[in-house]
Amino acid sequence: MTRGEIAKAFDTLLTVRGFRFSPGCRLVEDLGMDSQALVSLVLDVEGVLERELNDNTLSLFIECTLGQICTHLAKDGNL
Amino acid sequence: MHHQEHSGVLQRLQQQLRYVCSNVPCYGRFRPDNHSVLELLSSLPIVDKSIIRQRYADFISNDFTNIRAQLVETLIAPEAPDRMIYEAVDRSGVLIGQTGGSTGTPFRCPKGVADRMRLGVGIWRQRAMIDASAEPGQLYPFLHHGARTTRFDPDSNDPAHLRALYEHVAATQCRWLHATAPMLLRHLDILQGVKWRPSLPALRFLECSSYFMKETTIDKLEDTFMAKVVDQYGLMETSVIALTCEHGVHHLNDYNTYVEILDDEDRPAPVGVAGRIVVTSLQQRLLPFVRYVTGDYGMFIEKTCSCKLGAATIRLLEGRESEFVAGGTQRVSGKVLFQHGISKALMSLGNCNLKYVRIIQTGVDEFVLRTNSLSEPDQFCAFLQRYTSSELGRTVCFRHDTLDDEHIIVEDRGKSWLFRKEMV
Repeated sequence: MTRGEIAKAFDTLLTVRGFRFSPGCRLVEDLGMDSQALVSLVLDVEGVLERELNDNTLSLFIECTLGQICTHLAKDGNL
Repeated sequence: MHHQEHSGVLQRLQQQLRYVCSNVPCYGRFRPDNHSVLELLSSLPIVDKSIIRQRYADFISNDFTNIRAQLVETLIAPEAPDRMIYEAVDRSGVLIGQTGGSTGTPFRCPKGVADRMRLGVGIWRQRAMIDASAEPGQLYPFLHHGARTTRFDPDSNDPAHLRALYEHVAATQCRWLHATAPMLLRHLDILQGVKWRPSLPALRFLECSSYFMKETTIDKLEDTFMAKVVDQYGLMETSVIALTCEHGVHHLNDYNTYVEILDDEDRPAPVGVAGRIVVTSLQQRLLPFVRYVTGDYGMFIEKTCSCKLGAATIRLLEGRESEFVAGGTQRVSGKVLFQHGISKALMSLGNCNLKYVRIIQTGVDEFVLRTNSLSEPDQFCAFLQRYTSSELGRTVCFRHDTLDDEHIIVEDRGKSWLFRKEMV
């Protein structure tokens, strides 16, 4: 998937959870997601990408902005 | 070959041990690059909750230096039994879990948001191998619900409240229910008293944790709830360690934990030989548990099923380290000793109105008997004191505490007992 397609998928997944997608947002720090919401999001992202994310990639969901996560996932998702 | 070696778990183990040696003060003297991953692991000290409790700061990662002092203060703070916390979020967003220690002293362990997320992903990946439709929103937790609260309390003994709880659970149409078997059995007994039975049509899996599961209990729960029982073995400290497949076999969770089974000399026990279960968390960074003594016993067994929810399989043995009477030359199970002792006391004294009993060991020769209000408390206590002294071959002392219903619930949440029984 391209970065744009991944960003669009994120947009949909966040919207159904009541969050607003913005490339500069961090999921925990800015959107206030708790660990349960993050788990649910990660599993849905894995479903969209049809692959398991590795442990390093999971850490991106805590540390990085949504734009950075999309870029990483589009590159290889296997950091 | 260790049973977890043939999966991707070794890569996770190597990454985790490198992290630990680089970031956690008490492992700073170990050099990860000079060893193979399993050599490095076996060179690290085996730890238990008493060691960590005494040196919390040394076990907290340097990545969390900014909150370390405040966190240690929270972890060591004494708390009255009726104010005990079980899963609470502290001021820095860290989730604090708490278990009862073998001495009754609570043991608290922190997990960061990232720890919880990575552990949660690992747990759900394993659940999804049992139930392809499993999703976090489809599980109703009676416990381990973190900071989330609802208006329903599964610890309630009020039949009307429990009925409302089950009607609420039914309305959520959850596929999974997470609880403990004793809690569910207690609910069923209470609800049977008002001739009402829960009906959860959407429920497919009943995930039971925290207690050793017997076949008869599994059969009763599966018949009543018309759902498959999944036995989740884990610790508050490291979260889920193993889950049973449809054949009732425990598969280790390869995402979250690396398990060793060690004999009394700390050597790996061969397949089929029982030993102490020692676990290394593969996902926790804030306070990473490495070679942590669980207090449980088990053995690796040959994998005979084709289930994919974990490459290695184990059989758990009933009984924990903390359930053996301390201070003797022989291992005496509190469960066995006091089951017989209480039966004999009831036969000798009549039923005494005994509904709930819990026995803890407060010193080598000192025990506390906690029960509901008894008709003959002094006689009952004296009988148990004589019986226990005779069985252990030394003079021991028993003290009796009466608990009201509210305190029984609080008491029951911890695990610090040699013996516990609810008379039904």
